[in-house]
Amino acid sequence: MNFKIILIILLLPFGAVAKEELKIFTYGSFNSDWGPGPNIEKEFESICNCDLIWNTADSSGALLSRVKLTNNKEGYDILLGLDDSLVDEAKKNDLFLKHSVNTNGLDIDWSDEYFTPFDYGYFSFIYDSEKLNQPPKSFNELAERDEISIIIMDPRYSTPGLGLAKWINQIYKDDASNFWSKIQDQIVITSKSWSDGYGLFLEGESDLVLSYTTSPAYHSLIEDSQKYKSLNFEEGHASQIEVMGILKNASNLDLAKSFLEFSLTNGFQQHIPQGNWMYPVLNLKETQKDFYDAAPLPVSLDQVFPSSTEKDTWIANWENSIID
Amino acid sequence: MTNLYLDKGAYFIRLPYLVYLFFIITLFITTLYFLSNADNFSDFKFFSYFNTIKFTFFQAFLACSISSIAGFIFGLILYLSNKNPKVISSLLNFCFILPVIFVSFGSIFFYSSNGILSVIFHWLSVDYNVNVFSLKGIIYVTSYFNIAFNANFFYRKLINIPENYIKVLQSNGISFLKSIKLQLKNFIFSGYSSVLILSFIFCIGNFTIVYILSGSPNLTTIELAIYQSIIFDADLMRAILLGMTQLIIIMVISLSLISKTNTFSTFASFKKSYHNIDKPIFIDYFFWIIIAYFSIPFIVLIKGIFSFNLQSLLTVNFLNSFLNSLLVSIISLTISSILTLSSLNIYRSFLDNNSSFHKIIFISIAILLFVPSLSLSAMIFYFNFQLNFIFKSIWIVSIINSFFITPIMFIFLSSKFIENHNSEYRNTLLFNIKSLTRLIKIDLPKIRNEFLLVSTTVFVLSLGDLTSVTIFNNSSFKTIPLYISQLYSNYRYNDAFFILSLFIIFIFLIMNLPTLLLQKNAKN
Repeated sequence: MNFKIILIILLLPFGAVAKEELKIFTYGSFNSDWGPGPNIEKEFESICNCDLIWNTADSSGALLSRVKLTNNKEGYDILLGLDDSLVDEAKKNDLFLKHSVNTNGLDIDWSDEYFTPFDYGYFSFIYDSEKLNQPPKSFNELAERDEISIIIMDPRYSTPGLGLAKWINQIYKDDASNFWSKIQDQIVITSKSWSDGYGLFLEGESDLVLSYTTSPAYHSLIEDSQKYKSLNFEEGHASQIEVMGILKNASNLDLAKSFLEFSLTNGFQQHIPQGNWMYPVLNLKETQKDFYDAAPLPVSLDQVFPSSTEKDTWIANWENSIID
Repeated sequence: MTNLYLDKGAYFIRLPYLVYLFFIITLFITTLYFLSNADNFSDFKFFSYFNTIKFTFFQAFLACSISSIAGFIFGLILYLSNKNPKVISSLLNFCFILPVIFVSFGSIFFYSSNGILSVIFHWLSVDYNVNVFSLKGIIYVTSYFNIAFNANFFYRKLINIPENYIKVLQSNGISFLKSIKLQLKNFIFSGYSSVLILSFIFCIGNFTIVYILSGSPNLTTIELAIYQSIIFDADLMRAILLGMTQLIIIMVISLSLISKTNTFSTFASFKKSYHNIDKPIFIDYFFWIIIAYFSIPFIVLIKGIFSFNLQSLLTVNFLNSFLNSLLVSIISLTISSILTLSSLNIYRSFLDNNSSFHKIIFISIAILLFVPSLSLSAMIFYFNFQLNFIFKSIWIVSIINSFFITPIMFIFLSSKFIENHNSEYRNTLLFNIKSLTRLIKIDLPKIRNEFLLVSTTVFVLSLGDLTSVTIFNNSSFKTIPLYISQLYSNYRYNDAFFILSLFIIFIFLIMNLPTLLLQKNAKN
């Protein structure tokens, strides 16, 4: 009996200071040393009196798969990092709770009862202006110039890869397969992930790499190099919106909701441009002028939220058109 | 001789094998239950994977054929060069067990369009147009390991040609190469079927190589499709069915060879070798070409050492990955050793009693070689899900690794373990020697040297593995190969090559540990 009392007295201080935990599941680079995660964690913990615990998967595509396979038995509160191409599939699997966060007044049009956006970007091809003097101005010109080599990402494994398939389908519609066939000889590598492909491009393996219009900002602001530029296609650029949502069996709903609200404030958003190298969903053009100057917004195509069937069709078009 | 003699110790020794059997059967039943309850079973379109299956076996046949032919030629040249057999065999063994990421990244570093070879060609003003991210790259890297494996087999066979035979050849004026064609081929190729099967299985299971080097949608193997099913499509059913397809096809191909094989004889140990063969002209040049070929990936070490960065070793992620790698390998080796000794014991007891059930034991262990690691991962993932995730990632990866290395240990140790088993069995009955005593006092000392060598080999194989950990990794659980591959993916090439270089040096030290221990024992 005495032992129990002593134990309770000893443990009391720990209980008194024990903080609530918020478990967030995201992709690896978001919470890497160079990603926005660590700064966001500091900001949020300073106002929530809680512990923010990150867990990561290799890529954005792997996040939803993991939660589907485990039915979130691993107990995450928030899934951060799905993109618009996965939203439809995520809703179908009934894994997320509706939120009541106000998403009015953002820099993008957004209205979804399950997910809130936290950043966005536009797919583009990046080139080294010291090597490629006359960059193509459209997809048609790109396909006509056989000498230009390209690295893309595999749409089965990578969201930028799927983004390119979406982009091409938005522009060419029923003729997308034909376009893939035209450029297949120019594609020197189809990498499994964006970072693999981008690294190979920087090593000189190709003239162009599929990336985002924001990529040159990284080279300009961090490496002070102006040579990497984004192609500006006259047909317009497909966008990607990254979102987060509260998982159904979240253990701490109030805290999860607070985080979603926090994600649409300056405390979270200010770390996006030079942390995740995407455009923030809040308009920060005044405070992040350097970033916007280095990554000007291109002409945008309409936002598309593809269904699983549409995605399968895009991927099939791509697979069937590539012969080698 | 026909009564199965079992004391308490025998039950104790057999327990690990029975636990393994129980686990495998439970896993199989759980998988069948899962498949029978899968609502999307009819959605699986087998024929949509026809090209994937075709490519898997095409690249495996190609790599296996190249490895066999090149392995034989390399083995012959190495033999005719009259160099130190132990050094050559150790080199081939070391090349065979090198981590896949090391050889893959080394090949990219050497052959890519911005690699060393390209720089040399550019300097010579010669066009260089090799794309390492292609079928060529996959075959090259897959063959690298299997050429070393095949060459080691042939080299050891050649080294063990009886001295008298060569003397008779020489006295009759018959050249060595001619004698191979006339008579020696039967000796050299005896037991090669088992090496061919293993080589083919290694070529099929080249997931990491294909993952790194396939640069086109058509270069997709079954294992890559399984990876996609688990990681991106959350489709365990498809992963399992694809794995079973691969298992069945390999089994069909290997069945005829396995049925003729009681024990796998992979590598003959060195006996008294005879080295008084005339060296053909230019053989030394060929010898150094072979050495240069095997040395290509090691060029990465130069870049790694020049990228020295102490800070990269002091990060929590690195230390955590290093510790996890060691733990996984230690656990895998422990499970594998216990299971191997247990199953060998049962295997031998059936042989002692002239029962043909020993083949069942052999098949029950050897089958692990045929099951793709990633498919096994899918099965264990579902099993663990049903158990509410009681197994942590480190245990799952260790179990899967141990399942991969157990058949290698079993096959390597089996011939030595059952050597003279009949007379030993008579003695155990005569002197009433208990099973545990037989294992500790007779078996273990008998296989000590081989056990030490194979343990080191499988320990290193486990250290360098990058298959199941791609499925079960999380923020707190990564291994060194995964950590290096993530550094590489994140364009931190210098750190990746530096840590990779240290990793190879560490592996080299581990590989030399048994030699040192054996030398010390010999002196004592």
